[in-house]
Amino acid sequence: MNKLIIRRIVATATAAAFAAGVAIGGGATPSTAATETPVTGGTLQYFTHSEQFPALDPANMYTGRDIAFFGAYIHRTLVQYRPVAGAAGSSLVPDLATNTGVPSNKAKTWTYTLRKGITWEDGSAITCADIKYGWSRAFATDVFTEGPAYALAWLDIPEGAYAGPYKKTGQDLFDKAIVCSGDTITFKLKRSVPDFNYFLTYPTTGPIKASADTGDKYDLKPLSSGPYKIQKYSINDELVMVRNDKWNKSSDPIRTPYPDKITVTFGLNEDVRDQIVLDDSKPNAISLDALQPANNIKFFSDPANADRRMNNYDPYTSYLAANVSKGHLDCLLVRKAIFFAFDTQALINLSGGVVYYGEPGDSPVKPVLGMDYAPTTGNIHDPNYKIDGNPEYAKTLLAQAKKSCPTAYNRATNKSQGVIYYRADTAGNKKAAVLVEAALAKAGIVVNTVYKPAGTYNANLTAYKKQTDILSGGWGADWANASTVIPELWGEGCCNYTQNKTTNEYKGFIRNVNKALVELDREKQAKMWHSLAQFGMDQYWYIRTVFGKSQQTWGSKIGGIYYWEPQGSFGFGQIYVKK
Amino acid sequence: MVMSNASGLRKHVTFKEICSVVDATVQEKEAVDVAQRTPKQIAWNRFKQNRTGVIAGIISIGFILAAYAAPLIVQIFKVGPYDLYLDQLDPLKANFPIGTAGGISWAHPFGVTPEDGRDIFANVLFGSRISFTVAIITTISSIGLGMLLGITAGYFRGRVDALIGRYSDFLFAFPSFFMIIALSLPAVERIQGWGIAQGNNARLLVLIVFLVFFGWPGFARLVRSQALSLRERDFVMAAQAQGASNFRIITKELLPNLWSTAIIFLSLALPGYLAAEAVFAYLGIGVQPPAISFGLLLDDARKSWSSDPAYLLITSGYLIAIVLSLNLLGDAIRDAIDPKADR
Amino acid sequence: MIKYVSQRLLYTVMLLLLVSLSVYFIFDLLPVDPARLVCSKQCTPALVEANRHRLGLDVPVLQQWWNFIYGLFAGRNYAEGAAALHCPAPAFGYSFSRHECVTTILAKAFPVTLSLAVLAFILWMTLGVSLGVLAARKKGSIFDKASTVFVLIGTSLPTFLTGVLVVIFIILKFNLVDPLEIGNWSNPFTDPLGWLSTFIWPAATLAFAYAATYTRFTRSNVIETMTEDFIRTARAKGLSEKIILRKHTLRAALAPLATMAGLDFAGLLGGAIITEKVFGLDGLGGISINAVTSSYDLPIIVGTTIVASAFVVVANLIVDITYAFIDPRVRHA
Repeated sequence: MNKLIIRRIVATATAAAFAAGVAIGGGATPSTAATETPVTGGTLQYFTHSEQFPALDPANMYTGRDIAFFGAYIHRTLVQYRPVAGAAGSSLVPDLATNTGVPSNKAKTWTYTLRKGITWEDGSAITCADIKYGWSRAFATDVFTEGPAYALAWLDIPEGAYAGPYKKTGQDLFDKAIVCSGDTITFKLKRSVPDFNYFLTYPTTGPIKASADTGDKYDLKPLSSGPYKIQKYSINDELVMVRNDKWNKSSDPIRTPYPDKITVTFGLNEDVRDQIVLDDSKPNAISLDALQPANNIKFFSDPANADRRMNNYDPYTSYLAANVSKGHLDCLLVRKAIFFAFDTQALINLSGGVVYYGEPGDSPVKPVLGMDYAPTTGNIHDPNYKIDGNPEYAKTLLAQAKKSCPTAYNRATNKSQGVIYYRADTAGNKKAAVLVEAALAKAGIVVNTVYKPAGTYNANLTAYKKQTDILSGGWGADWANASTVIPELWGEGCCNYTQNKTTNEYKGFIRNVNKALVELDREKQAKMWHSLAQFGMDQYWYIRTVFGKSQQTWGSKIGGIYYWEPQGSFGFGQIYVKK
Repeated sequence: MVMSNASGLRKHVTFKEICSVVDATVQEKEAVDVAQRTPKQIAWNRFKQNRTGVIAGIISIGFILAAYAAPLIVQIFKVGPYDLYLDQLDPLKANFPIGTAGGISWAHPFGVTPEDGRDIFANVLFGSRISFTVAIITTISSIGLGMLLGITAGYFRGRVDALIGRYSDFLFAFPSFFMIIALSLPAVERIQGWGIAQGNNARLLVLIVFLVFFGWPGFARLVRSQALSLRERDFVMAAQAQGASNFRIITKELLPNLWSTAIIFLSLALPGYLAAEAVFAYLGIGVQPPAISFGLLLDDARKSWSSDPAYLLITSGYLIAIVLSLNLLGDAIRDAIDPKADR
Repeated sequence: MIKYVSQRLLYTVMLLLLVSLSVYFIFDLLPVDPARLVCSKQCTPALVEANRHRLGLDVPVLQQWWNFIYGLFAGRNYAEGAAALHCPAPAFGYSFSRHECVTTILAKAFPVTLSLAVLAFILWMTLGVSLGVLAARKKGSIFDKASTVFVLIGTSLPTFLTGVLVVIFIILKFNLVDPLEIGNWSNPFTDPLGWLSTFIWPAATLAFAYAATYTRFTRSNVIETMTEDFIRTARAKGLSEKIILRKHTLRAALAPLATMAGLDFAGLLGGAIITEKVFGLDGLGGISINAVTSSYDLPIIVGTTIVASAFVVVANLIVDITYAFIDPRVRHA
């Protein structure tokens, strides 16, 4: 799963589209946030069922929530998203830099100037060399595997020529690509990247002090540049952050730290976690997880909890990717039959209704992405589509498939084989799978669900894609350009699980993708994405997509909560504990 | 005996207890020959007089019959274990059952499961079937393997004995419970890769093989020590003097004297393995939906306890009832075979 | 005697070496690829190869095992150059999901497991033995029947169910423990109350099952002993029932209990997986089950397996040697 960043290239067009997105989302942020005066002091607590954060090391950080969380507390970057609710939250403001970046040479060169008085938690100044060192770590792909790969793709260094600061192979090439001159840092890129500055909100682009770098172990105690520092981090136990007295407000225009201390409790039993929220037994605490569906609905249906919850469209589109290679679902009619037999209503009911589920999607691009989204035709707009499944129509499609592609037909209808469906081994998935299997059985399609360990599911998708027929996954754009969606999911990018490269249609498709990627006219580019999305959906490379929603909950003594759209998460920096 | 203690499955009987039982029966065999009654008859008569034991036995058989006749029973009640009674669920309450106590009604005597609306009664019956199957196959295989190797070690002694002894030492040294957890997932993949079995069959196969693999040494040790002492008895010596073959001595002289050990082991290991299946399902090992097992039901019920406590109480109650009656039956059998323990 | 002890010692060491070797072979046989598991979506064959090297899996399995044994005594380095990581002896490996040497992780987890084991041990021994003795003395009374019911329930309830019920219907319902503090480690010497509030419920859950078995075992042993000849002799000598019980019956009846208790305790030192998981304790059992389910962290899995089997094997050794001291015949057998 990736994160979503909303970018406004053409301000007016996106703002309108985005407003539409919010309208579907419904009251995102509690109204109390704006009216009350924040309180300084106290202890703010978070709790989660997870054993640990996926990463504290900036080089491995790639989920929206963690970028928002650590960006607010300990990791500063050259630029940041404005920490406010609503669409304004998606605009950039300078952080460690004094500007949001000056492009030159057709946006192939970007220059930033560092602010005065910025310091590490040990009191030393944050220098241009620290930023440069931070960037160099992304190239040590044998040490850091989880972060985004844009630095490798963009910096003017031949592919594979630089091996990072530990091995130092090709260090001279790196030194030419990022140049420090006093407080001025210059990035030299391979190609024009007009939205380069949006990438600079990722912690992986922030500074790292070389003398404090402990490689893999840095994750346990990263050096703070923000208003808090780590006092204790013990996996499956707790994270304790206290105020960083070397940080000063005058050097930081965006952060307003309120609590004296922030703790995160890990490894909480799910029942215990949900009960804390339901009973409000920890009024100064916030759940970092969504509740279990049953408890979620219980909590959200009680009006007494109106001030301690929010429900928004999250940045992710979840999808069912079809393996379209030979011997799998290489038959469009079979893929269509699966789509039309699907009982979406049952899944909606399972999550408590559209209010919590979101809605069936018609594209891998989510409406919150703005101008790059346009409704497609076919799929959920097809007259034969029924939200609770249309097994009759699926059967007629299958009957056609029996003649035109008997192999795929047999695979899908044979009791001992069936459509192999890989999904992560979670309680919710098991319940959903039962409903899916029952719905498809009505059309005569046999589903063979295979559960894979949840903890390593995402890491293994590359291996799974060749074994399975359908694969469930989710994706959010890295910023508001479908260039971080369609090429990544259906083209040459990281996460193409459809095996569509084996098909005849792919050649034409990828040619158009590459054209769209270099298109400088943003309006025209958006139109190109629309037609590419349409093409892929018509091929049923994704059998179906869902524009999901997510819910957050917190205790009654928490103030300053809002939904930070670019990160799809809390705006952590403004949260305070009421007296 | 069944598994490491950390598993939460308890040793129901100790080595010493069974030894004393078997000694008693062997002595009895010699004594009752005079009275013209076989030890089996004596034990049976004694068992019949134990009212708790008889009732527990009837209930246990009832549970087993209900498990294996589940397809018939659910037809009488007109419910199907895989049918989704979605009309019994309230979509406005995240698909939780309509009505009190998890949707208990005449049509669904135990209610329906939240979220997917399966009939709990049918699921409990079908679930106990898989659990019983795992438990019975595992117990009988452990007894068979343990009997074979235990007699071999005890009767032939020498190098065979040493080898089997070392090997079981080696198995005992493994944290078996954890090894089963750690190895199950990859082992299932390997078995599927070899094409021996697929899906839930592969998972069941792996679970049973592992349980037997780590389960037999306990029983083998018991049998070995019994065989060691039996081979020194007069009737074995006499048979040897008459030139009887080893095979004949083992089948005609040793085995009849070991049946009580086996029966006691069976009655006490069965509930242990039955609960084991549930424990492994709780940890995500063992069968997966849409198949039904006790562990899956319990794990599912646990997750919705706060909104639907009846589900948890009914499923756990049913499991406890089965294990309890099997334990009571086991105790009664042991009492019948060995009156000396005086329970 | 020295010969016997050294023989047993040698045997124990051999057994442990064999166990560790077979753990390596088993994991090598199975289709788990830890190198791929720590490799995310940008996974390329070169990256998998780099990871395999980093995890020390790019050498034959015997070599891997030898490196492990060598590391136990000499410490070990992982990765290279400026990013190198050193784990001092005894090095069990390095966990890339927890960013720490496995030895450090085990050392943090052990006090948790030890606390649970000790507290549970005290609870079940006190409860089990006293219930067993009382039930035996008042055989057939209401008390005896009640203890039988206790034994039946204790042996019939799987621990995971007891644990879940305790968490749900006791701890949460009555708010007995701060919910954020469940499973939090506190030092028993500086914060004895915090320690007790963390461990009392999991220990009680664990002790419940054990106490049932020990009650049954004690009861039947005491009853059996009371019918022995030497007790009859003692009674014939006119000794009071109290003295007979204390000096003769209990001593004879409880001796076999010591062996059983020793082995059970040692088993628990390897981690009580279910109890630790239910109560979110980060002991050896808790980290091992998490290592399997969340990341398949092979170094942790191998480390906990070997430590747990070491406890079992060493406990067996101690029991054997103790027996040899008590009963000279064993030495020559």
